Amino acid sequence: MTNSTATPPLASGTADGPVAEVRDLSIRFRTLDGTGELRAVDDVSFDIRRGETFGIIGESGSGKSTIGRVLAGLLDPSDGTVHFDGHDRADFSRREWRQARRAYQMVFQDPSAALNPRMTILDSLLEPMRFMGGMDRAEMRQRALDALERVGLRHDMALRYPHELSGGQKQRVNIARILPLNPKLVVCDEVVAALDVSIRGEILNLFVELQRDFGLAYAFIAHDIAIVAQISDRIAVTYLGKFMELGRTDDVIDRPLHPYTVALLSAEPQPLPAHLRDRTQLRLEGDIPSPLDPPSGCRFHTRCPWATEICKHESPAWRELRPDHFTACHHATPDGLPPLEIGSDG
Amino acid sequence: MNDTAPSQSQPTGVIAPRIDRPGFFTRLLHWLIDDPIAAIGLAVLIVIFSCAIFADQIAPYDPTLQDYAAMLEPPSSAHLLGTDDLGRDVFSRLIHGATASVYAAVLAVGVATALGVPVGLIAGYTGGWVDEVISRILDTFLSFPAIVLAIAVTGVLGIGLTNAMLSVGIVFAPQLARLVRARALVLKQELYVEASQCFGASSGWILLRHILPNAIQPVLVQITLLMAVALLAEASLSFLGLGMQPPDPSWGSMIARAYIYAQISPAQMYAPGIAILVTALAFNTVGESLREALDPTSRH
Repeated sequence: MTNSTATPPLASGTADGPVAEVRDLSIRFRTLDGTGELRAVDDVSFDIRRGETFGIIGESGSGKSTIGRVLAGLLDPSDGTVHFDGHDRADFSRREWRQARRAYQMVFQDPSAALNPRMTILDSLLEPMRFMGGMDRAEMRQRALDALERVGLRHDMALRYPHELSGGQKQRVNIARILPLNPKLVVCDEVVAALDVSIRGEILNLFVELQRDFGLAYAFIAHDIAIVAQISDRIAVTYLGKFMELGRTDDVIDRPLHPYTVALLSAEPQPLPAHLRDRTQLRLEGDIPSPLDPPSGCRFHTRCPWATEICKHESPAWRELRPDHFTACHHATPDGLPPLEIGSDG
Repeated sequence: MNDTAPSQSQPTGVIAPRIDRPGFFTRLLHWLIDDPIAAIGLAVLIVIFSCAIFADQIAPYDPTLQDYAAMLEPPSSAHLLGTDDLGRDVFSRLIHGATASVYAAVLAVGVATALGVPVGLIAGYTGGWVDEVISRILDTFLSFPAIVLAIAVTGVLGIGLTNAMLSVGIVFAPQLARLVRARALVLKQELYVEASQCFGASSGWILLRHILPNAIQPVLVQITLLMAVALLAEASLSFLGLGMQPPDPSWGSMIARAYIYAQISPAQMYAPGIAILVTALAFNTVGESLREALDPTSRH
C-alpha cells in the first residue's frame, strides 16, 4: 500500500470535497507490558464523500472500530493524516477542535452505555447543545423535544432515565442527541449489533431517513456484510488492520476482487438450495491471526486458497483494478480472481 | 416496551405532557415515606443538630458550673442525668457537648471531603505521572496509623478542638481520595464520557457532570461512616487532651473523665457513650438510604 496510487492528492477544501480524507493512516497501541506493539490499523487511505454511506466490514480485531474512533476524533493517528472538511486534524488547536468536532459525531454499539445512567433523557439530549452556545434553555428544550419526535419517541420519554427505556429506544435517543449538532459525518459503530433482530430494521430505516433529510454522511461499521451491503454506497473490507478491498457496494458484492471478500460473501447464508447457487462455497480455515504478530507479505495469505509463494513475501499493492474499485491482491485481475484449481467444493 | 414510533398516542393539537421533574421537597417527602428507618435517622440528626445550635436555651444548668455539694450523683429530678465528679450537671454537659461533637465531626469530614474528593478525581481522571505521584503520597499517608498521624498533625497545628479535627480531616482525606480515584479510573472509560467528548465537552464538564455524580455513591456511604469515626476520633483526641480543653464539654472528653470514675460510678459513661452511638448510627442509616435514593436505577 506504499504504492503511490494509494495516496491520491487531497481533493478537499471545496464545498463538495470529501467530508473526511484519510491518508496512510496507522494506529499503533503499546501492549500492556510495554514490550510489544499492536498495529490496529496499518497504512490505510480512503475518502468519505459528502452524504454517502461508507461501509466498513471486518471481523473483530480487524481495526474497523479503531478507524471509526479516528473518524470521530476520539483517537489521533500514530502515522498519516486525517482531514476533516479539508482541514488537517493535527492543525486544530484544542479549543478549535472542541468547536469543530461537533460536525463529526458517533453512535455507539451499546446504546445503554452511551447514556449517563444518572441523567434524564432530557438532560442527555440537552448536553450537546450546551456546548454550542447561543441558545437559551427554552430553545434548547424545544429542540431536544423536536429531535425526540424526529426519531419517533414520545415527549414524555424525556423525563425518564435510561434504564427505563428499551435498547431500541435508547439507540433512538442516542441518534436524537446528535441531530441538533447538524453533523456532516456520523460514525455508526455496530449500531444495531446490540439490538433485537426485530428492531434492527427500524433503526436502519431511521438512519436512511435521516440521511435523506439532513444529507449526513455515514461511516457504517459492522461485522455483518448483509447489513452493511443493505445501507452502504461503498464498502471497505478490512482484515488485520489493512484494507483488502474498497469499491461501490454492487461491485464489491457482485464481482468481488479479493479472496477475503469472496470468503465473507460465501459465509452468508443463501436463500437458494445448494445446486441453484452460482457461487461455490469457500470456507476459511483457522482464526484471524494475532495483530501483535501479523503474517508477512499479504496478511491474508495464511488463510487464502489462492495464496502462492509471492503472497508470503511481498505485500500486495493497493490497485484500482476497475473504476473506483480498489483491492490489494497479487492474483486479482479486472475480471476477478482466477478459478481455483483445488479447494473449491461447490 | 413499545419501540415503534408511538405517534398515535400524541395527536397534534393535544398539549404535550408537562416535562418537569417533581420539586426537591416532593422528592424528599417520597424518599422519607419510602424509607421510614431513614426518616427516624434523619429525625435523630435534626434533634442532635438542634441541641447543638440551641444548647444555651435547652440546657438547664451552666455546663461548667461546679457544685461540690452534689458530686457523682445519680439521676434525679434536679439533675436529669446526675452529676459528674465536680458536681456539674451531666445533662447540660451532654447538650453542650453536642455542639462540640457535631462541629468536630462535620469539620473533620468536611475537610476530608474537600481535600480527598478533588484529589481523587484528578488522579483518576488524569492518570499518568500525575496519578503516580498522587497515589504514592496517599499511600504514604495511609501507611501511618490514623491516630498517630492525627496526633502528629495536631502537634504541628497546635492543640485545640478545631486543630484536632482539621488533622483528623487530613488523616481521613486519603481514604476518600483513593475511593474516588478508583471510581474515576473506571468511569472515564465509559461510553457516555466518550460521547460527551465527541460533543465538545471540556474536562471540567466531564468531571463534574459524568464522573462525579457516578462516583459519589460509595463516597456518601464512606462520608457517613467517617462521621461516626470522627465522633470517636474527637473522643480519643479529647481523651488524650489534644482536643476539647477543660472545662468545656464534649462527648469525648466526658467519656474520658467518666472513665477515671468507672469503678465508683459507671453510669457516668452511659450518657455520652449512648449519644455517640446513636449519632453514629443515625449518620450511617441516613447515608445508606441516601445512597439508594440517589441511584436512579434502584427506583421503580
